[in-house]
Amino acid sequence: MSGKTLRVVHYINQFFGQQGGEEKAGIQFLVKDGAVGSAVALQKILGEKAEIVATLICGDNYFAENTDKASEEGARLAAQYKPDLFFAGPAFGAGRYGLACGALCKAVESHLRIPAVTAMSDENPGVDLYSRDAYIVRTERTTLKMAESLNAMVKLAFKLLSKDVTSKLVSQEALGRPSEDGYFPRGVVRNEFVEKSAAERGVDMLLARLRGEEVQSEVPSPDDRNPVPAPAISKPLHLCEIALVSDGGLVPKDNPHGLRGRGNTVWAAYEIDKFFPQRFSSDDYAVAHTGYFSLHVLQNPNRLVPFEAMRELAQKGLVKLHPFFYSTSGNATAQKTCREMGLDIARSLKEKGGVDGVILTST
Amino acid sequence: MAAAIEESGFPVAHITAVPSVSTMIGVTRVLRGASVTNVLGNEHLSAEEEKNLIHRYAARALEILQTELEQKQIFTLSGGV
Repeated sequence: MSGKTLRVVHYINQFFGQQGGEEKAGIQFLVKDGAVGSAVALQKILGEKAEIVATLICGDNYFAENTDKASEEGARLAAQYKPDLFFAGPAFGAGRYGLACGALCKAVESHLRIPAVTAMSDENPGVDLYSRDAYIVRTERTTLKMAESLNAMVKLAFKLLSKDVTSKLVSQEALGRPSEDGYFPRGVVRNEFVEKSAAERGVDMLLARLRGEEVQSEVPSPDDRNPVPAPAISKPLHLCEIALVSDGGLVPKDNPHGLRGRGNTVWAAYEIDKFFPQRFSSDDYAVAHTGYFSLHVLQNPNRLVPFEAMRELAQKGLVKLHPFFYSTSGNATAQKTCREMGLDIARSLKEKGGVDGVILTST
Repeated sequence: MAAAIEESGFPVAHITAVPSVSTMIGVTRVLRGASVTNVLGNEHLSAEEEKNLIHRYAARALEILQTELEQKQIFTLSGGV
């Protein structure tokens, strides 16, 4: 690898690949020779050391809806160019893009056995799903730090490349801690020699805690994301009242509660009979959610929330429909805020009484 | 959000075109939706066909709410996983 220019393939989404915005999020893979769109920025940083031989572009929706198939396809397309390095994104806070970047890096690393690096912010779903299987550099949510993020990605990639990559174990042994290189921990456990014994370190930690200082655990606490499912509805269905909730941002035209299209923290309850009368008009609604192409939902809100279907089932006496629809917008909203809104909505449902189950629809 | 509502005691059927994110967050009853921009329908179908499709999703969601589960599961419209 000494002397020769390294070959790089860069994956970017439809927006950064200059194909369009959300309305093009359904496009399938495109391959362009050389650096195209925001890949040009990566090429600038790579300079003479490496050449982007191909830019892979794909729509965020296509990837998110067909993750396994798209990952394999993307890896195959990248392989055709015999790259030495693979980059994806950075995705920053964009969830579907982060998913695609993480999935693709996992597939490329596994099939091509080359360093594959991406970057996104810590709340991006791509982190929880793929941080164990891919090198994901930590970024902030905003896209303003593009150059910085690309720089960090390139630095990590070259570090990975410079070690003996014939042995995965060896290359990982040679890396420092994730925090040193700015990427999310992959769950690799490695022995380290330290001066103090565990007993001394334990006492140090306790004393620090008693002094009110920040203490860094040596063992990360496991995430409990496997909750026990809530009991199913056991009453006969026709006696059950079901509530409709959605985070797709469907609101009355003037958005009276001020739901924000991005980073929203507000939810509102709308009386279904008034909000969605038997004869509705698309002009009466707005979608306060900039994270997806909303035309189809505006044309027919039933595509997001099954008002008509549930109303008909209720009229036939097969189920009871809770009279209020709970609406919020979940684009780039922090997990903590989503949880608070969920607990709040649940509290409201309990206060109203009589609700047995919830259908929650998202994009 | 769905996970928090379920935590409060209500069974929740979450319909989404990207079920992996949902189950990762901890939602237990997830129904794979049609697409990101049209989760219950299909704009290429006739109005009548699409109405039927939306009805099927609503009915499936109700079925799922009545399904006892030991652990999280991704359901599809046609049944099974």
